[in-house]
Amino acid sequence: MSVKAAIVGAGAWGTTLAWMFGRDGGEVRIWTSNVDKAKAVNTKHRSPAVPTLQLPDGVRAVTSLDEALESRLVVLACQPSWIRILLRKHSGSFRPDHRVIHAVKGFEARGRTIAQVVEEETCVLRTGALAGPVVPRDLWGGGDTAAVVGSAYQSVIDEVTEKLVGEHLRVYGTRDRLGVEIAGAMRTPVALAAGMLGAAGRRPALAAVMLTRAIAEGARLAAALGGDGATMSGLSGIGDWMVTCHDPDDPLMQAGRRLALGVPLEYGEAEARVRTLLTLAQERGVDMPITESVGAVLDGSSVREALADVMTRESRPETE
Amino acid sequence: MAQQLVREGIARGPIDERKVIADITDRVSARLGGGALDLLINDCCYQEIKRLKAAGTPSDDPYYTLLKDARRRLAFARRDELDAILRDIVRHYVVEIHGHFDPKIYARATQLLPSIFALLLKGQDPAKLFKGGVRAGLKQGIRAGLGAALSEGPDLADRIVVSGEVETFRTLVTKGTCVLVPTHLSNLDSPVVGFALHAAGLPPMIYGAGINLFTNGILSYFMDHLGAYRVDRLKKAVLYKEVLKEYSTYAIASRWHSLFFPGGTRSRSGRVEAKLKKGLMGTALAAYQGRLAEGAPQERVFFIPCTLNYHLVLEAETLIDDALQESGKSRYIILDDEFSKGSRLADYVRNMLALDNPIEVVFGAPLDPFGNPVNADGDSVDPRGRTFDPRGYVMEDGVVLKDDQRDREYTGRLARSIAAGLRRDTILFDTHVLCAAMLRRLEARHPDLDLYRRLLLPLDERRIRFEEVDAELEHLLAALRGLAGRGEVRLGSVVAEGSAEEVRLSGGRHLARYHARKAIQRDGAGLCLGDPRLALYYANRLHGHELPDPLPRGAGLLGTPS
Repeated sequence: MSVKAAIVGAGAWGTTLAWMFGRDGGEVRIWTSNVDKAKAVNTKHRSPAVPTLQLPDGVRAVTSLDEALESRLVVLACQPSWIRILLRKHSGSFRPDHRVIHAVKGFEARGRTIAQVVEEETCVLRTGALAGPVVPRDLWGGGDTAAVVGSAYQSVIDEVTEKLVGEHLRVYGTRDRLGVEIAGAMRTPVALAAGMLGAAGRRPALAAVMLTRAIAEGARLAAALGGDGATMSGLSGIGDWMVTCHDPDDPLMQAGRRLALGVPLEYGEAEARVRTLLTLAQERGVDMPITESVGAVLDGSSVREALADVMTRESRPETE
Repeated sequence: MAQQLVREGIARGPIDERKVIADITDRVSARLGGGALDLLINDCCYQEIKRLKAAGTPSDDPYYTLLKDARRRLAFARRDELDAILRDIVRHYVVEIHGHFDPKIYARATQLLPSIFALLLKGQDPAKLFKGGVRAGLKQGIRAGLGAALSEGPDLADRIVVSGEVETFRTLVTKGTCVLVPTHLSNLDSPVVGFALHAAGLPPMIYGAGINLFTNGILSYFMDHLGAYRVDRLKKAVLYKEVLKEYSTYAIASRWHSLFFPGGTRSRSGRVEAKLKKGLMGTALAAYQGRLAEGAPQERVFFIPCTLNYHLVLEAETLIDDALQESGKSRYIILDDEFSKGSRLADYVRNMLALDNPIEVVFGAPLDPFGNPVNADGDSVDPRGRTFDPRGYVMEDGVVLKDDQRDREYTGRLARSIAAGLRRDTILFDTHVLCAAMLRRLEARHPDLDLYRRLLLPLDERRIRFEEVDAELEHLLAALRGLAGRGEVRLGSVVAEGSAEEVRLSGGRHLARYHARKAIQRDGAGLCLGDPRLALYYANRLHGHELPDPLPRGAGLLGTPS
């Protein structure tokens, strides 16, 4: 039997993806360099990353990436900063028949999307991005949600949809892979901003303004980079941001709250994602006031000062 | 091996013309036969009858009659009759496209290629020599005629420089089917490429040529016998385009080396082609997959980007006028340009012969049908420099998987790779850089005006002192040499090594040579943009490169001469 999917990354999100792909049967391989973690998955069908989650029998952990890559469908689920190093080290193991999608929310530090990194480091052409308002613990408990697969290749969308869709998960497709990736990257400043506003005691109306204007902000960046701004109004954009902003346990929301109270960000990856967006915005001449405000708070401004800067900006038509 | 291929010509074996026509007719009929045939045929008949009527085609014209008859039969046709109508029309198109290709004449003409090309560019009609040859005994007559015609003037072979990945190209023609994709500026491009291939010891290639070009006596002779197939751009019907694509697919699958101009037509603006036509390009991928499906696992197709670089372009004046007019699209097929005027062609050739290096042909880095680089052994190379087998892009478990949408994405990627190669391998000459510097001075002086309004500035506003020109040239040369150092563009020798003054003098000298309108002319202590539109045409060769803003007005510069 051929391998249904290979998940690269055995953290909580990677383990959840392995569970999602494997719950209707079929072999799913999950790659980890941690021998103990692999042993736990293969003997107890549980990962130390999510000890409460019982994995299907078909999920098997491997410590050799080559063994994982026997699957034609590969799902990257690790930190953006690791991916280029990993792909470069193993680029010879990738083949033209591979389809590589990622479920990573954020750009690489030098402003490339994860799919672009895949194309720059391997011979793989058929890439995609998976995103949407998917909260792992909701899924584990039988909650219902939807996700979106972005790929220029309809066959990739169809394959991922077929392998992932189930009673509790609806999967949509879009050819705007870049838009999905930009929406995913925007999640970090949006969630941090929502956390800051909550901690500063702002009323829900302001959170609604922030979310709505984040759509325009993301759309401007998408237009500048060659994506479709309309994708920001979809599941990978506003859909994902809304669930983040309504989830008090979301790590980014919590980090935003702490930032508002003057506690420095411990989650370095989040700060890197914001700074990457700001660099991209500067290079492309894109106006991104929400992300800039979050950057200002990271640089030491108070939430009050950052908010005042945004609120006193010159008025502009809503559609710009 | 490459030399053997040059002798053999396009095909590796004899071409059976009847089989070619029958095969392509069968393929198109099989491919399109499953759809809504009546709609497809009706669309073709409607569009073509309307066009032929408007053109005043005689009612007894065989093609006109074929279409009228097809439309009459269409209304009550059963499935088998629809298939028969389709085959009739498709066969007519295949015969028209394939032309009168004769391998024997082709092989003979290939040997005489340099001489024929020289005659062509000297404005003489090779057909007349051939007619004389028939009377005097073919070989002796031709040789005598050519000898007399070629004894005068400089040798063209010295005037066309071939560079780039020539060795790799020579290897690849023995390892697979090559598709050459050149930039397109002039109607002279086809013979220039033909000559460059011959001079580099490479086999000639078949190519699609506008059917209007076959009305030019000299060029028609040249093309008809050297692998040109006929493309009628006035035929817009889907059915015709499908036949054309199938012809190209068949040619590549038959391992006939092919040439497409990927921009589709001559660049009107002078810019290097950036948005490429993907229809014919995609036929290479279809041919590749077809051969794999037939059990030819080692089949390989290579794309060779190629740039044709001229200091001056024969038809520049007409082309830029066309680009700047809204009528540009309707004049897609220009019939009355400089190429159609014998005296202009002769002027151009005479002036070109007097230039130091008038034409440079660069064969670029080869690509596979998916846009990946290919090494000298013909292997696809990944971004980390590793070779790999690209069949996995279209095959799984030994089976070719048909997926048109996927293939369009692959071809789009190929087009982007080719466009990048064309930009990288375009040579910027002094004519281009001087025109760009002059127009940049206008931009610095009138930053509030858009390009089109700057082109309409009065003569007084278009005079620029030498000091100002040289300062802008220095600024521009520094940026261009930086780009060239990073391999992002090629520079002509004067641009690469000369001072600003040398570029100004050399560019000015070249621009003064041929055109009836003067893009740039000397004006006292400075230069004047005599025809800003023509200057724009040459300056546009720099388009697409990241260049700094012009020097600001008055930054250590003198203004307009009093």
